[in-house]
Amino acid sequence: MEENILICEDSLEGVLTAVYTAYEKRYSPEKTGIQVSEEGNLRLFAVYEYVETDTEKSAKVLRTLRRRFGEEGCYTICQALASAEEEKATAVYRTIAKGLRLQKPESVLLRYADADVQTVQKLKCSVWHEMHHLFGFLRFRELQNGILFSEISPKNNVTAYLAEHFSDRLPREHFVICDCGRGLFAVHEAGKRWFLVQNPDFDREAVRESDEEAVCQELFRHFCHKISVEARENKTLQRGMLPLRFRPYMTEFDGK
Amino acid sequence: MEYLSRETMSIKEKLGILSDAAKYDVACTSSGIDRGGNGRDMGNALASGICHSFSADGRCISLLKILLTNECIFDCKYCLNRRSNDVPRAAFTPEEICELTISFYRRNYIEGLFLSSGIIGSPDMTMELLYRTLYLLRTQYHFRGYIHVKAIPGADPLLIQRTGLLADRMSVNLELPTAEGLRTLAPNKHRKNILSPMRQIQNGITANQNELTVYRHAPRFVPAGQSTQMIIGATPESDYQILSVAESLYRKFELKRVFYSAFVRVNDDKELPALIGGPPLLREHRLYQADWLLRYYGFSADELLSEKKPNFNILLDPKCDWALAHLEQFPVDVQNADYQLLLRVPGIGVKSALRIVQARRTARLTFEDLKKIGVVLKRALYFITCSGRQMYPVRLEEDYITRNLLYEKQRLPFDKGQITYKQLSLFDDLHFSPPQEKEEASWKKIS
Repeated sequence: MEENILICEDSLEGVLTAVYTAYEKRYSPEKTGIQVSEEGNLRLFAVYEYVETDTEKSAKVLRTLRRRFGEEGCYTICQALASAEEEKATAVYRTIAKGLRLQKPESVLLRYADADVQTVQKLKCSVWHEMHHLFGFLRFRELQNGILFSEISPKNNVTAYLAEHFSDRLPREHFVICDCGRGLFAVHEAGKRWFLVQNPDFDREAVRESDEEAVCQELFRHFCHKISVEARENKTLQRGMLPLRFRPYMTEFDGK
Repeated sequence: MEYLSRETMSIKEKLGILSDAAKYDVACTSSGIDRGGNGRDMGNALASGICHSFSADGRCISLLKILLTNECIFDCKYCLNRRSNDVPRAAFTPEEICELTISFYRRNYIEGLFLSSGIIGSPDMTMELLYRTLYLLRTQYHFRGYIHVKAIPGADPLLIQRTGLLADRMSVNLELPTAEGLRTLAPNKHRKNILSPMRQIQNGITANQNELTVYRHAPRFVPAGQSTQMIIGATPESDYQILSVAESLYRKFELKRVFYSAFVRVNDDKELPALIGGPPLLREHRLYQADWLLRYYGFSADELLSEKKPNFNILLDPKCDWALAHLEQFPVDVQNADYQLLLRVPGIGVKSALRIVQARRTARLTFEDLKKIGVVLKRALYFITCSGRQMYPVRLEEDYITRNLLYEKQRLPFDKGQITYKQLSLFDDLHFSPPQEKEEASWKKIS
């Protein structure tokens, strides 16, 4: 009854390398777990193993996922891995293993009665929702050098998805999205592909807003104030739709 | 012209006046069209729509919702901008609107523009100004984001046609559900004038779809469809009438959305009803719920309401209400009930019904699974079985279920004891029918 537990880096590449390793060593999925962090209770009768992230291996796994699970299935799996929950790695690994045994692996994602699939779908859903929230709630500020700068602090690691969305939307703008909690920066230069930088040399104090910025912010605040119908005021509903955790970074809630 | 002489007013003042004047328009959706970026111009659109903020009334702010001008030659009794009201008036120039839209869009404040207008000069003149603004925004400012624009009733069809080629969504407000209501409250508007641009847009969309099948790159006409809105509670129409109107709009005019707007009394006018408890928000909510049932759940207006029962139950949502009146169709077994029937179970939505259908191909579903799938069991448990079993031993009786649904916080369904300590309430028995009659009825059923 010995279990194998693989410990890997908390990133898409890290987990996928661990999946590769588990397959390489022919571990049985039922008795294998993947853990993305060191913390937690050590378990008796379990063998712990560290997995070094290897982009080549993870790229191989990703290619297989794309080929066997299809574009949509692969997207679901990757998005579940962007979650901040620790249960993600094992659930994703077992879902992949169960899927690859089938003729049509992507159909495993429809088995809502399976506990691992349930977890994957639940995580994917919450990541998708946060991503979609931030498509709207993210705010850019124009800096003196014309760059659009944005700070967010999401629960899940959605910065890459945001960068993809905004580079499609604003192809001719320079912009930077900063995930304050993770120290992760998405950088987009006008007309080029975006990329991610982890913990760059960044001086928060050097951020200077352009002159026009304050005017524009004031206009938007005024607009948000005016567009509300007094007779229907409902702050509870507002809080339900726009949770408080997003507000520190949003222009219209400054100083409220 | 008068409105041009007001250039001294600052942009902020204008924005204040013109968004204040536009706020009673409900539609703020940016949905219905997927349009990726082209790598050059600013903007794209997502079919799901994106909410960018929520105002203090809990409504979403998705689009920059403004009027071009709040000058109006009409005198509609319910409207803040009517001719006879003494309110500050302002007007944007098309360039100002474009600048504002672009600078807001760049900062991700908004998803696009919602442009409406009071009638300035004549419907044609107003429509032309709207068209010019859109033309400028699309061609000079190269804006590819979402645009929702009003079609002005009575404007030249050619202007509407041309505007439609630049906009994503167009709407003509029906304002009041019946022609009589319109006559009393909006003397300058006529139902015919409202319905004809609606029909024109519908025909335009159909013709455009035919064009697109032949020429893939043909310019698209109102690709996100058209919508409309009705004011609820300003005139004495019943829910049944309103819902029937909405249904025929969906069926005959192929509208994407009908919006309902609880009447807010902004003008003191003898024709307008006094609202003691504020705007009829709950009624509006029930209408929206029913609207969803029409569009996604395969219900028809006649199933939900009738001449005899013209208004919705305030205490229960329309779906529960329907299910309680049709208990003979329940319980359904989630393992083999077809999709259409699953959709009719209270507590099961479009998404969970789909998931049930997908998941049961490979597994026997349990109540635990249903919970994970997203079924709201506290409502659904009375109406469904899993592998022939109910979740708790509940009775399939109208009064019993109603009582439990209403008091779900105080009384759990598995609480079998009949004794409660709660105060007697007027709503305990919703039917107010003599108990004798009911006993007889159940006795008849048994024999």
